[in-house]
Amino acid sequence: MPNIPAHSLDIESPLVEFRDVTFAYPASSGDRVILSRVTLSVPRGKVTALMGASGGGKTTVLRLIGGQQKAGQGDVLFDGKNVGNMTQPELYAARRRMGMLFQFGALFTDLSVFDNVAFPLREHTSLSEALIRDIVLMKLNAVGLRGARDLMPSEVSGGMARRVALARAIVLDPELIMYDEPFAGLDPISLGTAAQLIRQLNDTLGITSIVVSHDLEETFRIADKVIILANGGIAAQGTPDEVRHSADPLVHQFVNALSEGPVKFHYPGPDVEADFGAAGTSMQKGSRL
Amino acid sequence: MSQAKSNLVSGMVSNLGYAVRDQLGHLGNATRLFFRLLALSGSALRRFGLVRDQIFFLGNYSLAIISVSGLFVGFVLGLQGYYTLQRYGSSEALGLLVALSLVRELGPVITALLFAGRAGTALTAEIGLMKAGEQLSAMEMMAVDPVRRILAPRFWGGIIAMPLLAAVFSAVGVMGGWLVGVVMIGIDAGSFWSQMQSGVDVWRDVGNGIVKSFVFGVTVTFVALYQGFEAQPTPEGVSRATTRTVVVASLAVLGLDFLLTTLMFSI
Repeated sequence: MPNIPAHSLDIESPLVEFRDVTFAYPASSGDRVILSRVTLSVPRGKVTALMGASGGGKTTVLRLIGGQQKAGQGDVLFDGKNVGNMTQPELYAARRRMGMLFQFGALFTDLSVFDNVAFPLREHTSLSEALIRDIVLMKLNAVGLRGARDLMPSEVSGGMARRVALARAIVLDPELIMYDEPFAGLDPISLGTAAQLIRQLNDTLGITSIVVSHDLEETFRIADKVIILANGGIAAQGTPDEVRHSADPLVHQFVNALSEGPVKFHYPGPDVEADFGAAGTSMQKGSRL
Repeated sequence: MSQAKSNLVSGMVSNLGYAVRDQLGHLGNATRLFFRLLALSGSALRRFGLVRDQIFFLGNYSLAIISVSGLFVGFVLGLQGYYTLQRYGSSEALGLLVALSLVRELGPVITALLFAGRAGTALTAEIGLMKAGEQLSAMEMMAVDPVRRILAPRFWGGIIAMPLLAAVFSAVGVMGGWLVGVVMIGIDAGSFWSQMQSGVDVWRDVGNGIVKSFVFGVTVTFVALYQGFEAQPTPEGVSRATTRTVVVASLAVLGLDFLLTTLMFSI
């Protein structure tokens, strides 16, 4: 019942699709390949979690979907259209169907909570102020902050700021909402609330959600599908249970939070011997335990 | 040995190449941003509410520093002018001297320098911090163009505020000259004002001053916006950009002042 997408009749096709996508930062900044030949799909009406080590390209996936970065190779499809080939007006039209929650909320610091949430409405619609007020208060009510409407962003806590940003992200009723590390730095109560809210909004509004997160427990609890990115590719995907019981050593390392495994503790660099001399070799062995 | 030397040379050449390419890149980015801002003028001025807020923010908050500076510059002009003029026995021309110096030169230039320090840095820091806080990214993701919504109104706010501030500076400066010359030293008030009235030309003197202050307004505001927009989105990046705004804008104002004055003399 909760999984019926409100916006599209085409239930079968995924809302977001990556086909063979490769992305690398340009040579001037180190030529790091972030994603290499990644193919993935985000089903409509579900909560899809993107997980993986820091620097593994999770945020890049969101930026590619939003068209803030362009894939070097391959296609990034949003509702069947290639985001990389869109003209600016097309891209802006596509973005109006997306909401994005930035890691720290990214509230406009010169506007009050109310005006922050009202911002997209004032920019994109010509609704009357009375109507804008009603919509804004409804959205703020959905995140439990109707009473905080007159506060400035500097006066709200980190968790509240993220909830305000969430209200702002859903104010235009998007089809897709992307959460960039919504749980980072939250206390346990705010964390539980945030996770609950993501699930609730997904189900009641019939939107598609993508959650980038490190928090295993909360994310596995709310996600319908989990994709684990590692070393520029997809290490595992499936339901939380499937991923939890994956035999892949990398996924095993990640799901069980082990410090050593296929993902190395040491950043690539010169040999230990080259840096410390022969004595260093024993050190390296020591660090391997 | 010669290997090391040739490495040094090729290293220097490639460093120079990088530096030149980097500068050219900046120049290209700046030019593109400038023309985008010009192209967006129509839409910025149509939403005049946003521009009005910026005129208030940039202009009103600079009023105190501009008027106080204007008053003191006027005092000093009155004293120094009197000292020079009375040697030739023409101290009643003090009004003319004070007005011409202010309207043609000091008004626009000092106002622009103060404007860069007061309003330019505020603009750079504001936009740099918006960038560091991902506010500009967030805006883009809401399908709102930050250049249109944030930069263009500030650009026009600065352009409109700057000549007004220069006019205030000159007016207060003239009052300062009057206070020192007429009230303190005792020059005849009638000749102070009448010499000024007959000697200052609306087009050649006041007009040139307005043109200058307009050009400086464009320059300072654009430099501030560009530095903020291109700042590294980190605390150090924003502080460096703020410093660069003052340095680049001040040098540009002084250089352009010479250029404009030369042009105005030749016409």
